[in-house]
Amino acid sequence: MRKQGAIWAIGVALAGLLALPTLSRSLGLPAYYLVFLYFFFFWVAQATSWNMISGYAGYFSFGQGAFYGAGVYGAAVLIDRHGVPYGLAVLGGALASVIVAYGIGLVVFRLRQIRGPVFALVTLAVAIALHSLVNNVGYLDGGQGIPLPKLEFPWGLSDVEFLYYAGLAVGLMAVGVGWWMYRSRYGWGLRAIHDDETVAEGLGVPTFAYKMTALAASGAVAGLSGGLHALQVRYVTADAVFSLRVPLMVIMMCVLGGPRHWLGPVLGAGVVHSINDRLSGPGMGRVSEIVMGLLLMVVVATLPEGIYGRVKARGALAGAVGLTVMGMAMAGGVVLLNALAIGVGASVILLVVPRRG
Amino acid sequence: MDIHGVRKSFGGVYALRGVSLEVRKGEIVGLIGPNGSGKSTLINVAAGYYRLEAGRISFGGVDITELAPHRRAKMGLARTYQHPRPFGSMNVRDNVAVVALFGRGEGIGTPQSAQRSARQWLELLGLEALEEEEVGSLTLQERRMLELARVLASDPRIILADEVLAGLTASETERVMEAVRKIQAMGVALLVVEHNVKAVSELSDRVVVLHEGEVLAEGAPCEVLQKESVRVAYLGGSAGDA
Repeated sequence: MRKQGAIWAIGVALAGLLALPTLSRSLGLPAYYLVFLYFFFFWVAQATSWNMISGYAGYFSFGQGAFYGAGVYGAAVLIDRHGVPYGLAVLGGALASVIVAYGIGLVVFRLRQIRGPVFALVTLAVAIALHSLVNNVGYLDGGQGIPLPKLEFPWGLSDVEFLYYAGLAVGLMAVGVGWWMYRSRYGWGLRAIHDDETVAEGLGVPTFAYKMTALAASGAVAGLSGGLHALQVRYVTADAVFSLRVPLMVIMMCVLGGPRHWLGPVLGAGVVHSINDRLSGPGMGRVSEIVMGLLLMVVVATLPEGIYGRVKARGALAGAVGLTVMGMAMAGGVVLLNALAIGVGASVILLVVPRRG
Repeated sequence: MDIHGVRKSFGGVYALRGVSLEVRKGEIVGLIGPNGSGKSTLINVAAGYYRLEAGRISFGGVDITELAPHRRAKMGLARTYQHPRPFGSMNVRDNVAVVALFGRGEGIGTPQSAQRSARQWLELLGLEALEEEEVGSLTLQERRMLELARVLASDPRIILADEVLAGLTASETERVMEAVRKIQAMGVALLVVEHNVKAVSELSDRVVVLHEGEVLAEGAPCEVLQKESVRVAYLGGSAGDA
């Protein structure tokens, strides 16, 4: 009964998301709502990608920028230097990212002592090395950045609408893979690796193959999402692509949402993006960092399993409170996305508040 | 399992100097010896965690010397740890189920069927009341029993049991020994590393004594434990002192 209800809810949500661009066009709503949702899908894909190797298998990575960057630059170079159609170029970006992931895996996992903090540093070093490579090799970028041409999209879709649908597809695919990993035999093996890799290996889990697969899947999802993002930004520069923003954001989203469950990155991306988006105006950057930093500290200190752990217990209540607060804010004249951020904030506060007794 | 002429050193110091021993189907072999005699190294070598410098290990007639630990597990070789190492994020049942998923051969197909299988092993060892418990709340004896349930779920042909009785009270020791006998009755062989000489002599069909990385004596427990050389090496004194 509960399962059926969940399937219905997912079906309705999906139908709503698919109909949204048409609805938005006919109601004359600002295109920014679709852009806002595109970024949500982007962060869901990136955070889910990070979670595959770092949340499930316990290999904490600072190298998300390397996978994402390989995707962005893979697609941008293929489009700009070789005139490859953008669909194929985005897939090429994913492939570039898988190659980077596989290369890291072969070096790091063959040398078995590389775990824990050293793994995190190695992944960061790869991202830094890629940054330098891209900046210094003219074919890749050479420090000039790569401007991408305005592209034509099928079925009369505007660029915003196309990116919305493509972002939705990549986000759903990422969550689908994350969900399957979590529930399958494979996911159980990753969880065992997370808890005690030596014991897992001795009890029959093929740890090397599992870690390589997790890293490659993480690279594929991050690269695909990164390749698509190249079409969104349309002017890619190494300094922006390989900055610490992406790795830090995905870590925060997963830790906040809950890194051991497939839903954690989705929740984390929703909370961080909806609040962060409202704090990104001129002069608000520092405020955003302070708010996010405080939120992260509170969650790490009080909810080591992230807010997902509390969603099971009081998710319905938090959702109801969030919607009520959002509705009240809108009734008071607050614009939609500001009201959403306030509603999300109220829900998170309710989830974080400790249980009585 | 046939271990033949195994040598292993750490930083130039030999932990095993050409050790050979055999464990036959359904047999319990006790492996005893003083601290530093090479017992744990031998378990790690047999399970595939250390590379050998010389010698070979075969299992069921197949040379497994170069096989990774997970491949040995797939053939039916399982081990327990002296300090139990359950998976901390899983409850008792799932600790057993995850092993059933990856056990001998192809393992059990789905997590749901593995959880059903896990319940049976927990019942066999009297842990069914604890199935939903977090492993952090278990006593030492419960953790040891969980280790045994876990290796049983892998459908093993041999279990390398590293000091499963250490630190237990007399009544707890009796419970774990009873579990070991049940496991043997299922046709599973055990190589039991143990300091509790009385328990080893009661449990084992044969005893192997290691001393400074070499096999000092081997045979029926009552005969081996009476040997002067064993008493001197193991108990640190002459037969008269012991």
